Parts: sequence; C-alpha cells; structure tokens
Amino acid sequence: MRVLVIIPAYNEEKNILKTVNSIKALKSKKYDIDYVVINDGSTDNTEEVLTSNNLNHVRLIRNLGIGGAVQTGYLYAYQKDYDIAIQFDGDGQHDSSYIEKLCDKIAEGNDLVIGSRYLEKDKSEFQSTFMRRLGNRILSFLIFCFSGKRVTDSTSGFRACNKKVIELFQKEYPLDYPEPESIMYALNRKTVISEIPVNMHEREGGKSSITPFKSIYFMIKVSFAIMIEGISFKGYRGK
Amino acid sequence: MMTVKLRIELIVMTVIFFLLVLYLIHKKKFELRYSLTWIALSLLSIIVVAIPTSWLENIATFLGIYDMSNMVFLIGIVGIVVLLCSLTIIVSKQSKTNTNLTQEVSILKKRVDELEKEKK
Repeated sequence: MRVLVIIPAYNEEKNILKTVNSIKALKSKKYDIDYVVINDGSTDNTEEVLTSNNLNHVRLIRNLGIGGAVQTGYLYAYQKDYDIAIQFDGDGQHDSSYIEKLCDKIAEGNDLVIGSRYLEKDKSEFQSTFMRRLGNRILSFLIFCFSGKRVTDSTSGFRACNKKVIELFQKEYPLDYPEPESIMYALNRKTVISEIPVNMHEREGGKSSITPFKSIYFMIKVSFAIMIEGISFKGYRGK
Repeated sequence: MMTVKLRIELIVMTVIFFLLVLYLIHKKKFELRYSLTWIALSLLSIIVVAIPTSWLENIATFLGIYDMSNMVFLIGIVGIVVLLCSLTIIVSKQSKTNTNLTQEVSILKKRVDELEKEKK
C-alpha cells in the first residue's frame, strides 16, 4: 500500500529536517512510505532548509493556516492516488514509530484512525496542560452527544485516512482548528473511525502559536462547529 | 406598543432566521469563520423581540430614546452596519489575495513560456 505522510510546516526551520529524517528512516516491509512537506508561507528559512536538503515539498505562496495547508496535502495525496494519508506535525512532536501502527489499523477496515494521547492513562510522556486536556474532554463530549461515537483525542493532528476520507477532505476541510470539526464532518458521512494510543513529545525548538485569547476563540468556534455540523436538518444520521 | 400577535410573528421570524443561518453554515454555504457575526446578531434579534416590552422601555428611557420601537430599529441598524463592516474587512483581504494570486500566476506563466521556448 502506498502511504503519504503529510507534514504541514509554518516557520519550522529548526525542526523540519529532523522531522523529515525521522520519516525517511522508517523501513517498512508492508508499506511504501512517501512524504510531502507543505510549507505554509513560512517567513523564516524553512524554504531554504527544504530546497538545500532536496526535501519533497510544496511551497504555498500565501499562508493558509493549518486547515488549508493540510488540505493541500490531501489534494496532493488524492491527485497522486495514495492509499493512505498520514497527518504528521512538522515540529517534531509526533513520533514516527507509530506510523506503521496507524496504517495497520486502517488496513483492518477503518476509514480514519486517530493517534490519541489520552487513550491509555499516563501512556504519553507529554499529555499537555490541564486546560488543554479539559478542552479536549469537552470537545469529545460534544462529539459524543451528536454522533454517539467516543473519541478521546479530537484535537490530535496525528491521524491516518484511507482513500475515502482523502477524497472527502480534499474537497471540504475546515480553515482553522480543523481537527475536531473534520471528525464530526466525517462521522456524518458514514466514516468508520478508530483510535490508537500514541506518544507525543514536548516541542523542542520554535514557538507554539497558542495564546490564552486564541484558546477561548478556539473553544467557542470549535464547539459551535461541532454542534452545527452535528445537527441533522433532514433527520439523516450516518454512522 | 407591540401587539401580542406582532410579537409572536417577530419571535417566529427571528428564530427561523437563526435556524437559517445555522443551516447555511451546515451546508457549507457560509464559512464558519465569517459566520460568527451572523450567529451573534441573529441570537441578539431573538433576544430583543422575546424579552418583555417593559424591559425595552426601561432601556430606551435610560438611553434617552423617546420610543421603544425607535430603539429596536436603532439596534437593528447598528447590527447591519457591524455586519457590513465585517464583510468589508473580509472582502478587502480577499481582494489582496486575488491580486497576489494574479501576480504569482502571471510570473509563473512567464516562466512556463520561457521553459517552452528553451525546449524548442
């Protein structure tokens, strides 16, 4: 099976080479693993790092945000007819050793597999702050209310999709804070979703883009998005 | 003074409008990022027509407005202006994006033309 690892990157000049190398280092007998870095209009030297090291990438001429960047990856995967697409952060927080496990779970018959930090208690080194965990639990509860599906880590950017979901996302994907909303969107269209426990690392270099004000906007916006996507106006409910 | 009949009509209208906004977002005709103003305003309109008229009268007197219904119109007009402002901001950004895209595509075309000439 052909797998594409989508690596969205915004101003990750310090981390991107290491991140791509961790993908290149994967030797899988079952899967043919490629990668593409989506340079989301970085203003630092990310592009120089990508070109000087000959890394496979698409440079967006304008910054689109995480939603637009990841969707570019899905469009690329769709056009090149990949079987599985993996979302993998460009800052090194995700662990590439889980990629094969995500693919195996897809091969079992799931359409979308989420790498969850919260599936097994205390398993992940880095479970993030209390506020983030609380926010995650509120969103998981909302998703459960509208779909009946239990998702423990709805904001995780470490996910795998099969062709059906690649086609869905390349056409329609939320612009900002897309992960929970896209889960709800997929659930409404008969997508089989599963999770596996994963380890995520602390951010090593560069800056996280989350501020307290943004966190409030994020919670309001994503909660609304889940609710509006989840309301079924015609009485149709897909599982 | 509003009759009970009018108030019921207005409440039904504003609730339907709110549901319409939600429906448009659900159908992806409204992008959620730009729709938060619409959601806020349609909720506000439901509240304004649903609360007791005596409250509206008190607010009007407090603000120095002669008639409660004048105040309701004022709120409506302010709401529309706020909406138009947010739309103008969005349109301005899109205009810049379009200009940038036109420029990039034009330069790309030039590079493709040069490449094709080189091939010959």
